[in-house]
Amino acid sequence: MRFKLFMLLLLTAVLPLLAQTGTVKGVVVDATTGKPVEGAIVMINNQGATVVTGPAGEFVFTTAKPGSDIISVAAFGYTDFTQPVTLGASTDLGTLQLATSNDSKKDFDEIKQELLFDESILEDEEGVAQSVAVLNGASDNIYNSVTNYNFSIMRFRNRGYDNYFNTTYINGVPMNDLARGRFNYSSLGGMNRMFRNRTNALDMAPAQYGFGNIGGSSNINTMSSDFAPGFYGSVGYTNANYMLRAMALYSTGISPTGWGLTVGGIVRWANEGVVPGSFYKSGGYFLSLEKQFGQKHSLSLTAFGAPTQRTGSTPTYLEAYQLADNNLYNPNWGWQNGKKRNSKIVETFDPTFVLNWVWKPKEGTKLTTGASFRVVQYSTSALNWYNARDPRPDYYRYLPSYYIDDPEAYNLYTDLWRNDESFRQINWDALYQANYLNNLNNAANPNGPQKGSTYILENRHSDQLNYIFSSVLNHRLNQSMNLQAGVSFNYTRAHYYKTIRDLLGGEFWLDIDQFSERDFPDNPSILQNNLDDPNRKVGEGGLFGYNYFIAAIQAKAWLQNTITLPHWDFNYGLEMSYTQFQRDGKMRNGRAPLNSLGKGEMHRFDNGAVKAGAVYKINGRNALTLRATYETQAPFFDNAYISPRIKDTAVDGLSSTRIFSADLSYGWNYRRFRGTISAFWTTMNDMTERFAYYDDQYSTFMNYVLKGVKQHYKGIELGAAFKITPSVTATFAGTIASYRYKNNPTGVRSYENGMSPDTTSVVYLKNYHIGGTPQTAFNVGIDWQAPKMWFFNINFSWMGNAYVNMSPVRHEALDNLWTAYPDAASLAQAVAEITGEEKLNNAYTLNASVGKLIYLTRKISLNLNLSVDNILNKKDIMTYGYQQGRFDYTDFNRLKYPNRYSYAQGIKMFLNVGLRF
Amino acid sequence: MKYIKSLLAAVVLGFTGATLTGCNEDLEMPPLSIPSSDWKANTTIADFKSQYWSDQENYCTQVGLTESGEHVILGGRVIGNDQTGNIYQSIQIQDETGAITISTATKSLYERYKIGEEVFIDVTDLYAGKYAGLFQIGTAGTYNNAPTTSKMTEAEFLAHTQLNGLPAPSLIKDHELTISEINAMQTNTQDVMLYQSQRVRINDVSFIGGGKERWADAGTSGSDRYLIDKDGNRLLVRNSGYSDFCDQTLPGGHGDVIAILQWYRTSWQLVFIGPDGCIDFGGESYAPGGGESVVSTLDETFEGCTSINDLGNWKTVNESGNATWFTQTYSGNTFAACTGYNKTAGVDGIISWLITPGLDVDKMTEKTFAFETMVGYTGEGRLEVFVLSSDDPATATLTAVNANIPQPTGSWTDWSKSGNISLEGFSGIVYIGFRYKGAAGTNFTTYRIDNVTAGKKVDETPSTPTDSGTFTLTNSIVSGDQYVFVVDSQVGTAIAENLSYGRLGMSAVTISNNSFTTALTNGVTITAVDGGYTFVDAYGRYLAMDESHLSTFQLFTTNPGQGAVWTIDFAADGTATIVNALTNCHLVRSGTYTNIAPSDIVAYPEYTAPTIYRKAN
Repeated sequence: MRFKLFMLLLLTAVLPLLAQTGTVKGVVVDATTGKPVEGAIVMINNQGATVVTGPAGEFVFTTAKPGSDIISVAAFGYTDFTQPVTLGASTDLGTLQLATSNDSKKDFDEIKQELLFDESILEDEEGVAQSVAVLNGASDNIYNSVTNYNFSIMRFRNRGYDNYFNTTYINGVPMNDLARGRFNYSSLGGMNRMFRNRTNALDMAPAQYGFGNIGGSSNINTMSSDFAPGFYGSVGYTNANYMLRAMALYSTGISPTGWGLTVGGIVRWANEGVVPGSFYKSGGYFLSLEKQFGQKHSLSLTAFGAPTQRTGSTPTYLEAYQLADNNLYNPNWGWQNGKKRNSKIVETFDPTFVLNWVWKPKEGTKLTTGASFRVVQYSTSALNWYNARDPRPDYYRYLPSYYIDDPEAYNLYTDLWRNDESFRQINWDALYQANYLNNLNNAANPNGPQKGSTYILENRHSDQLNYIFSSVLNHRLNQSMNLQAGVSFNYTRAHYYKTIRDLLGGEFWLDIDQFSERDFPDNPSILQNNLDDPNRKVGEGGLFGYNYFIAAIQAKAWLQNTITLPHWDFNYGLEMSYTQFQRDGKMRNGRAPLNSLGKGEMHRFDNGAVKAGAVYKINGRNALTLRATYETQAPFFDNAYISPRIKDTAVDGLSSTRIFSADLSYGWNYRRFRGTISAFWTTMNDMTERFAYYDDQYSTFMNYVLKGVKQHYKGIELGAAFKITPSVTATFAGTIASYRYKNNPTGVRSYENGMSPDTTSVVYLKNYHIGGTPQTAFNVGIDWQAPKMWFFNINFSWMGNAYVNMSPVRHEALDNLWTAYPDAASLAQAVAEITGEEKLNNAYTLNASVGKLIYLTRKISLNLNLSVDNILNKKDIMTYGYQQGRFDYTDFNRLKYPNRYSYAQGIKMFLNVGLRF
Repeated sequence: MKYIKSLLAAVVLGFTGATLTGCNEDLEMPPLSIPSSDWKANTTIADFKSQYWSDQENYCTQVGLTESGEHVILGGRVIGNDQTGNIYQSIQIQDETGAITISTATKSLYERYKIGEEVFIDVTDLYAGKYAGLFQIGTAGTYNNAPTTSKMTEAEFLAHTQLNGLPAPSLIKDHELTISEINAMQTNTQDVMLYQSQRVRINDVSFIGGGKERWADAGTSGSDRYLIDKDGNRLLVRNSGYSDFCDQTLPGGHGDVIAILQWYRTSWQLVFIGPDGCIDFGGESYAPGGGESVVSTLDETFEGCTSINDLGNWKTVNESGNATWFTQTYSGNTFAACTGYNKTAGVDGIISWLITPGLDVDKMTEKTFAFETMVGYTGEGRLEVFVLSSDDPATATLTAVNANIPQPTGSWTDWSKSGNISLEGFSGIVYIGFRYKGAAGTNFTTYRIDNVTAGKKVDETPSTPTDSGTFTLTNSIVSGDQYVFVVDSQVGTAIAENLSYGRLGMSAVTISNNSFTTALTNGVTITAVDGGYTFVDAYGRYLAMDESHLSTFQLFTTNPGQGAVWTIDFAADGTATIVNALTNCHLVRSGTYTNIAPSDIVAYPEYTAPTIYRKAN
């Protein structure tokens, strides 16, 4: 609610003041109790004037322009009140009755949003990390608010865009990182209540706080003055990645001396989540301290962080899920000493500090300056092994399908997979045993070559230090024009390295690359990870493997003008940016001895963006909007290097991406029926994507870069709500879209074992769908705001046309395929099968929720919420799938390295009890 | 109604949106990668061969340019490659005019050079020539310090060849030829040049050893096998011991074959690309010996065999020593023979077996077998015949048979019929084994056998003459009856008709119940005369002596008088003392000689007296 108030407040700045004015007055009361409502915001729509009601609920406008207009009243805990009025020289509107709203829905949505934040951020399985695209939609855009949560089960991305097309600001400071351009929502620790104060700009709409992004942006306001004073606490139970959640928030509000303090904390916990072998341990803290100096200045310090330790997930093969008879089968854990031990542990902690200075020199002008310091600490653990059998239970050679030609072995393996749980999980004891044998060998031959661990658990770290500065000016030029301008600066130093988490009983780990060792047995230097310290024996906690920094700077300056006229709104803006990054390697790698240690090439990019939009207000209820943006975007340094763990080499011809986006929408807003329909069209050119996989043909890790990629995103979106009765609303939201590759880009292979020089080939991707998000989806729902502050919702979602993420290697011309299919017809069919698109299962879910708000006293309220998603317990909903980079070049059997998928859980429930006073 | 405007606008917007998303967007797939070449053949294979042909067995010539100064480019389709390893490190290509072999030290040529694939080869700077008589394209090499054509490197091969299109095996031509046509071409240079390396189809042929022998002995450089047609014409087939089908059995019966006609030194050899070059094999086999490993009749004349191996289903086993049964032709007759002469004896001397294919006694119309034997020279080595329970004499049960087998006399005997030897009492599958056995020594006999029959009775009348009779042991003489002399179970055999003197030979007989059967030519009519008896042989000659020859019979067609008179007295042990009235020599077997003849027993006191057997009337 408060964000809506904010928007209204900002919009009022541009409305022209009339020469002729009159007075308007009235009283705002609670419709149920008759008691006056203090602190309600009353606004005359077309005039932009707002006043706040006093303790008796009274309000007065002194400079109101006569004529017809609409009066709106908004107050916390109440539904918005609007009423058309005719104003004269002196108007008394009388008593305006506010009906209490059920905020539980909003709270509820927010809690659901926050559940969303930790829906497994998909790990770097093959160098393609996906994180959940979340845009906390403004509740008055039905499409966004519905699709945000309801399609997230299939990792729906708004308009198909990747996460980095959405910018998140905190108090005006842009917080997306420079490595991948994404904002890490899990850094918020699930503290949705602390971060609920948001202003959003959907898609290409102009924002007051920043230039925004083509996928939209949102500004989280954490200054104490924006928090409702009081206490809020909640306890919740769910059967998702975590089970228990407890959160508390207390805000003093702004005291008469101008101080305001908000503190809060959260705990989310599960000893074992819904996925077998998983766990979740997360805590979070939040602090916001504000000092207002009179009306003009305020200083605010925000600090938050959420140290989290949780398990990660790995998509695996359909065969494995079927054999384990569980679509949540998790190959990453195994029994050890009677407890489940997981090999994939993610530890994150991003303590963030934001210092803000807000200066309002005069009415209509505001300068928000902020400086943020953030430490990103992220590590994920994984098993590593040397000259030994793969310890992962779902390695393709441990699956029955590998033995398809030997019926006896096939039956044996099938039997083991089905009936012996330990067979399909990690055998920790075997790993320890192998290491123990090495120790025995060492003890028996003290003068011979010593053997280190065969198996270890390593931590792969990506850390960052971010220093971000921004300053945004909002200035009302005149009645209709508003100017925004800003600068931002981001200095990031990212550090990538590996450490030994656990030697699993062994004595040390030898820091060499075993694949190079196997491929170049006569070359002792090529297998070194650090030539300056060869054959180093690493102990627990020691750093090894790779160690490099990337220092990056991004500076932006932007300017925007928003014009509000009676029938038109215009906006146009311009942004210029400069980006640079440079790798600084700390190890001289044997596979690139001249090109790995020290500061590498400095990469610089100049970019710009222009955006413009127009809204034609047909009348007060209908508007037609057209927006367009053209921008160039510097590559993110995470995508820029071919093999950054080894060498400084960047993608050849590294260039900025050029993006053009346009959308046209029509919105209507009647008393009972409102909605928006939009059509959008976006083209992106010269993009770069990076994949990493193990290539069997060359027995090495392969870094594959796809460059010069062109993509189109286009579709229509519809969101509509119809008030069947004042308390029952039916909503519909849906999209039919097409996100496709639109050219045949170039693929560059880089052999990590250094065996051959990089090779280039054409990848035939034209018109192939982009994977990972459902391209068609719709949701119908019914909300019922029942009496006695009950709230009910039931909705049904259907999501389809989600595609498996393709592997570019399958789309190259296979020069030797004809030797396996020596006639034209079967050759064409083989090509069609190998390059065929694969879809994830279409999915539908039925969800329902119920809530009740109980006012124990006027001040104290109890909020009960129960929501059940996927009531039909559909367990076959695929959330993600990708083709492996490996391909069988010997027999061209496309099923040899099958796709990997992950599934969503079945029925998910969430029960939350919140207390506010 | 107030909604109409909005709804209309929404519809319009929806429509435009729908058209944006609804265009036809076919997925663009990678192009079909098919090899292609823009080379064109400017020389035919026939022209090329005739240009570079020489009659030397090994030579190589570097190929130059065409007359117009271009690179020589040949084109053709692959008709043979290394897919089974039988052909190795070479491919054969064929155009309308002929075929040619291209040799290269490249592995797995079949992956890309598939049968039917069009290949262009730029021969300029490569070498054309022959290795062991086979014309091919390769590189310069040496063999025994002389130039020859050898395999070009993989790099050269890949640089000089190009593939074009997908393989089209239907465009390959199989040249149909018969074995006799192929054999006839062997001496015609033009034909040899044209047909070397060509893909041929030969209809209606059998493998010798089909159904029994393997394609080749695994791990060896190769084995020779033969195709044979209905008329007995043979063609050599060469199979590699490194192919992936060498352990398979050659197909039995008869059928058609498709293979590459290659050449080695001075003659054709057929090389199969793989076992599927054999089409529709079945039915009867044209190979001698039928090729079956178990038969119910046998009628082996050994005619046309160049070796025992030609009879795929007969077996030779050298139990001791290295004397192996072999085949030989004399005066137009081929037979099997064995001798220890010039062979190395083993631990047990020389023991060598010739074993027939399995005989299914139960299926025989008449459970009997017969054969003919001849022996020459003297010394070690005797033939014995056994019925074996399996074809492995070391482990089988051996049952000796009584067969009429001649003993060595020093000169070649005539063919003796063994007589019908019964197989009653045997059932299932048995083998007849002919065992040549002798101790180590310097002199060895040579035994020959022929006309081995089984399953039907043979006429047992002796060859010349055809009469035989049964003789029984006696110790009294009835004047005018026919008698034979027996020493050591061996009957004295008649002296050859054309001789005027000689000694009786000795032939082993099987005596049962004091009787045996032998040819009537061995019979001697004993007639009482004054002072003794006269002996007249089957040819009507008096067996007599004269004073100059004290160890041989003198033969007279008329009674010569005193020298033809013999006295006969029977000793207590049943032996007969036969003394010549003129010379006083006794009729004995002297020493260990293999003859029965008069002998001065005073001078040569070592002797064995004969027993006398009388022919029953």
